[in-house]
Amino acid sequence: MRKKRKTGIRRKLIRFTLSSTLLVMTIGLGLGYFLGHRLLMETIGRNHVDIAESLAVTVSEMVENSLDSIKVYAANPDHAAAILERQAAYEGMDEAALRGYFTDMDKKWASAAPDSPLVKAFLTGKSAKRLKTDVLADGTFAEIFTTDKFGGLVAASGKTSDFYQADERWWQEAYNGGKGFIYAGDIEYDKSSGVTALTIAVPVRNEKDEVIGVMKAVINAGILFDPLHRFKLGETGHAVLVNKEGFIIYHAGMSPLSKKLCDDDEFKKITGAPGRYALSRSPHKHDKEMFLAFAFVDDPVLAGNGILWRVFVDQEGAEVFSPVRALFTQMIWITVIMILVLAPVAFYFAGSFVKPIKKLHDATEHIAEGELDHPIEIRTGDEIEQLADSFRDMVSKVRARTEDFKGLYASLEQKVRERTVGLERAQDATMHILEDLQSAKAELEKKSGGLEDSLEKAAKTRQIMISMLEDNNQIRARLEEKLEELKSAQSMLVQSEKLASLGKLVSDMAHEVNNPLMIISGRAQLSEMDAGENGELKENLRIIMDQCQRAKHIIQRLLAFSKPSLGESKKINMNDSINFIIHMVEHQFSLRNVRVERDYAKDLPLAEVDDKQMHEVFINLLNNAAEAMPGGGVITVKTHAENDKVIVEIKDTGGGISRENMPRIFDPFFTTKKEGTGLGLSVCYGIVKAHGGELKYSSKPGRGTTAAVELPVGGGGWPGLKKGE
Amino acid sequence: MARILVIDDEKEILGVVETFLVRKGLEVMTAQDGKRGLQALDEGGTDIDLIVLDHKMPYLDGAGVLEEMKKRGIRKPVILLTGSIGKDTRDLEVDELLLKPIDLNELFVKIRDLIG
Repeated sequence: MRKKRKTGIRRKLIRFTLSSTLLVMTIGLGLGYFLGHRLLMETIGRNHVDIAESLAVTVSEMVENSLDSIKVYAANPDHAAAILERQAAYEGMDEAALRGYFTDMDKKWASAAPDSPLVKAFLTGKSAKRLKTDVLADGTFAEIFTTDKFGGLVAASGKTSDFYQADERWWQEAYNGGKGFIYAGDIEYDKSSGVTALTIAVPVRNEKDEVIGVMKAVINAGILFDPLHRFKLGETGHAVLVNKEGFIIYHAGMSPLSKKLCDDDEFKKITGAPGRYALSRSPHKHDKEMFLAFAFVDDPVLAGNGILWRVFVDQEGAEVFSPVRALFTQMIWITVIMILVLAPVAFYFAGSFVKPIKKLHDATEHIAEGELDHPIEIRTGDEIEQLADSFRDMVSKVRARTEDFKGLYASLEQKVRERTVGLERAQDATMHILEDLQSAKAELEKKSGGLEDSLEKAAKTRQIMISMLEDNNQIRARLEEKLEELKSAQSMLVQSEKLASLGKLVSDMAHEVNNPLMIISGRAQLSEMDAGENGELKENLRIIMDQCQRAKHIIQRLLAFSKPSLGESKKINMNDSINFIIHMVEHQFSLRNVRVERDYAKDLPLAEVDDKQMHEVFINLLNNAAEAMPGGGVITVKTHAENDKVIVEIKDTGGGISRENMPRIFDPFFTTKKEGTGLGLSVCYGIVKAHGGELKYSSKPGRGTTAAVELPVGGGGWPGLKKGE
Repeated sequence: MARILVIDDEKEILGVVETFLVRKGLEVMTAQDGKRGLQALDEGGTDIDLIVLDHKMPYLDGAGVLEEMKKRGIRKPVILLTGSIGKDTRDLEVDELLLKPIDLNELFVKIRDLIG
């Protein structure tokens, strides 16, 4: 018998290899991506901050350079001379006159053409010419001009928008009430020069170092921050200069000013980032994810003017992290390739692993079919080979045992044969001895002289005879025992056959008798209706009807014996079932000096029975036991389980059942009691049989009777019912 | 007046039951086997109020009559008379089951209970 081959191990091995590879790679990938991302962020962040730092230094240097230049220009004596000359014109004017003069000049100035004589007067002096040269010399300056200590224009590199400057903040700061201050303003759009510009203003001093005027320079931010413009990092990296409020003051050659780097919350978050770098969605880059790093422009002049600039290096996140993303993509490809490579390898190794197991399995099947010599050739050098070796050992041991067994069997046969021969010889010897005896007897009769010899022989013979007789007795005893068993088996068989045919007969008869009985009782009932006041007739009719009912009862009992109608079956503990009945009858028994002893087995298996029918059986058996002991005695109820049977034994200490009555106890109408239908045991027998069980009686006259109800554990499939249909 | 159909293969039983029930004031029809019983049911139709049916009959027994009635859609109260109560009778769909030999008075009481 060959079972269907299973190939589970190979599949499991392959699945294990592939899934563990996939798992390791997935974890590796995830971890790699996460760690790589973090590491890259940190490294690039630091790097970008460094770059921003150096850019900030550049910006600071630019501003310082411009400041240095303007300071040098301001120190030129031509400018101081021009201021003093101009101031001489106001000498003697009171404050009101001065205000009037400036208001007047401002008006005239605004409407004057750049080439008008009024304007030209301020652009063509020695000081103005110098300013022009300076502006031209240094490309960063858009405009430079000087004022006197009242704020009136003195000289300019080009036409300024206003004449009077004392109302401007830069002027007030730089003049500083005559003390002087180096002013720098945040980057703004400058109307008069038309560029986005950084404004710086320095005091102009005379030889005595007194502040006599102010020089203002408008620095073209686009040119000043050109290094930032030229700065590029990768494809998308730029430098952005941002002021304190987050406005972009310089980016990509332009100074938008109106745009913020990002909204205020985001700006706060980025500027507050611990490493001065962060990833952020920046609206000024179309909401792309940007990597931002920044550094402060550390300049004392700017700081002194309350200006805080930050240089941001911003680069698209996609570009910054493209290495780690590229790595990740590569790793996925490597995983796919590894799995593709590993699959056939795993398939091959799994095959080589499974092959010897299969071989061993084939060998076991051959051996199981009796081919003990089937070779087991497995050379794998591992545990499977060990297994095969021990299996081979086992087979050889089995073979040796089989040989031993054969030898034992042969020697046993030999011994039997020898014994038989011995017995035959003993028989022969006995015959010889008997012959000898006879001849001895004859001889004895004939010859009295050989008496002594004969006596001796007779003594020997007697010895042998005695021993043989003893053997004979043993054999006879065993034979008798066997014979007894056979007899009881045969009688049981006969009894059950007899009872089966009797049951059939009774059933048929009962049905046949029912109808005439019904007619009789019916007619009697009709007659009773007609009887009127005839008391005697009425009494007779009543007796007829009563007897019909009695006959009906007997018939029902007979039917219960031939085919009991079983009702609901349940799994029941027989201890409970019999105990229930014992409770019912115990008191009544005690009045008759009959005591019931219980000997119940613990953990008795359940039997599937019709409990009501079993109660009837137990009542009958207990009553029979009690009635068998008219002078009182003990009933022992014992339960136990044996070979899938639940056995309930009811044992009395009564007079027992005689040998000749024994085969008839289950016969319907057989009774030894004065009063009794002789149906009780028949019904019990019918019920127990219907449950697929056996009802057995054993009795020895004078030593009591044991009734045993044997029921199949868990129910016997209700054979009685099947038969009855 | 209530009309009862009694089906039994034994003439004497039909006689006894009929006489008794007529005396008790019921109208009685009899049929001596299952086939004739069914015929009477077909012809008598709605006039029949209750059926007293014997179980064991040749050709068509009580169970057969019940099955035929079910097939033909005849729904009447049925009292079954039987010699023994076993599995074969237990599963039959009848209103009453009486064990033979029956007490005629008991039969009458059951009939009265069933048809009111």
